Amino acid sequence: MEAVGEVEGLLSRAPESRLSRSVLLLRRHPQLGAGLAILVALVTTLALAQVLVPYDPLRGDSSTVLEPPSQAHPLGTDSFGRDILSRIAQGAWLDLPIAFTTVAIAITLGLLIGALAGYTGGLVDMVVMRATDILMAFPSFILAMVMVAVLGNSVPTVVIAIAVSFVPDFIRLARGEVLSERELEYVDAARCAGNSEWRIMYIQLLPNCLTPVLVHGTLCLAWAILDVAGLAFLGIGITPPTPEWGVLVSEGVRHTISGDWWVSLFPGATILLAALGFNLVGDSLRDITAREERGQ
Amino acid sequence: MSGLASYVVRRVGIGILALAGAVCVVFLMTHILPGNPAAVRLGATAREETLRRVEHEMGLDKPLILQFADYLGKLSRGDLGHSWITRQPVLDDLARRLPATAELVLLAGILATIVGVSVGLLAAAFHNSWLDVLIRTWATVGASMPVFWFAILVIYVFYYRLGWVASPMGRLDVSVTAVSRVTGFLVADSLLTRNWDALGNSLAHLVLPVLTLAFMISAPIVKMVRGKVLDVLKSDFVRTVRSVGVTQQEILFRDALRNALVPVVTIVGIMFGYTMASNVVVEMIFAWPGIGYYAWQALLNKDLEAIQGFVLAIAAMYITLNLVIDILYTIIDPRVRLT
Repeated sequence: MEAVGEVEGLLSRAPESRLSRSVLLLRRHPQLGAGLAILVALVTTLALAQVLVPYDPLRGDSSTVLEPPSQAHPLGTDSFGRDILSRIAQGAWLDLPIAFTTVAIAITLGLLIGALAGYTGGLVDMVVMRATDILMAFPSFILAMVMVAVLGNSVPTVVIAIAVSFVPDFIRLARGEVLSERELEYVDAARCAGNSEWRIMYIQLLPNCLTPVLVHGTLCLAWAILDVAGLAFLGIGITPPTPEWGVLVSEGVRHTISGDWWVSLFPGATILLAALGFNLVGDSLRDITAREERGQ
Repeated sequence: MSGLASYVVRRVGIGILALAGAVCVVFLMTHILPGNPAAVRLGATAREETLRRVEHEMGLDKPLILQFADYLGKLSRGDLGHSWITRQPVLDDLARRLPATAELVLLAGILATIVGVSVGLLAAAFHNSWLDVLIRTWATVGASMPVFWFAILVIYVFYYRLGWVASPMGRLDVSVTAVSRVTGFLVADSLLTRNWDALGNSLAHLVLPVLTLAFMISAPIVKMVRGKVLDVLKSDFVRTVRSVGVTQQEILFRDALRNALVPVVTIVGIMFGYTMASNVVVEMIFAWPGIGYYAWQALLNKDLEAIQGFVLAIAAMYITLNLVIDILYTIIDPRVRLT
């Protein structure tokens, strides 16, 4: 086993085409392939569904109430006779952009604050770190829940609340990276060349700290999808009749308990698949970067 | 021992500071964030005079610093405010509902720890075998599982299809003779009062929510235990032990597990937040009358003092738990004190 690993290690160091390198990477990390495959399949299906299933996701039809999956309605219909596949496909336009926006905001805030704390040190660092410690005493989902309740139900509120609940992790990650990076020689060199401290911090240092932050961001995409849907399911944040995935699941609860299983099953399975895809990709990216750090 | 004592004093001090910080955050969250608590309570259609009157009753027309002083003064008297839904002091509300939550969370936590640690150890012992792949897949799927959807599926299969468990509503059927309250834990109380009907019925109600919650918590435990045990197995001292001819089983159970479990103690702290978050959803779905259900009701009805009380209670439990764990840690592993 180990011998094979060594040979593969040698192979991967040999100059090769980009394609064969990617193939090798996917063979060594089947999780990465599985995650990417799930995400691509999900997005393609939902994109095609918007074209192929000719139903209005918002308009009911009294002649097709609560129909089980059939040729005409591949995933069945809900209590208003709306096609569930069309509604899931419509929901993707809400859930996926929300997840990406949330994580983008959390990363930006985390990098700016974390880099400042790590690079400046001293009092700023202490205040920032104590503040994140305190925020971490609140479970992130509960923090988001309360913020949405106070700020009111709307999409921007949900984005802000979940983003803020993710920020402490990113602050710590960015700070840790900057701390180890700022002692390196190129920082001194940049200083000698007359760069301002701000420029060194955000232009020269920060790009080198991105890898772990982006890896964690991939995992956060999964959590963001779960959190948005979870809040909506609780009736907080995004509310019916918006076709959001968590809303779709909650609309089906009554019907599931009286036997019409398809109403909740498919929207929930979509949430699971999306989160699973991002989790698999995030986990394998973490493995790959950890291995590269160890120089294997 | 004086080293330990001074560490404990310092650590308790940090805990108190953290709690003070948490109090500030809770106050700021409900007072600084745009969104007027009086308007939130009255809804968008409230008339101007009514709004002013309620603002005055809630003390919102005072300067912020005075409001904060009021809040601190009440807190120091153990007053978390009144819920305007239940018309009761929030502290009493929470105290009355805590045993229901504790029953659920403790059972789920114990089950998840037993399953999670053994399955994680199994995965590490058979590293890279089909069993390991299976367990890893399970853990990843568990980490991606929307808890609310899982709960619905479990109810559909075990209640609707198979009819194996009691209806997924609350802790007891209405038809069962009520249990006199001793500890608040229904299982313990029905045992103490020899109410066998209630014992069976409360267990039948516990099965699904406990399994749901345990499934959610076990996934990250499996992942962490597997990772830690693998790290220990790769370490130098295990190689040395192996070279003197100690068997794989002995290494796994004596060296790897024990050394992996030390950091696992900290996991309990991390898992607490995750568990309490999932617990809100589980209590809501199973109409479980604990503090999670209370918080959900408070959130839907914009019952701000109840929300504040719940969040503060969670933060206080988290801080205390971490304090106890850190102190236990230094007793198990004296090296920690140095850092």
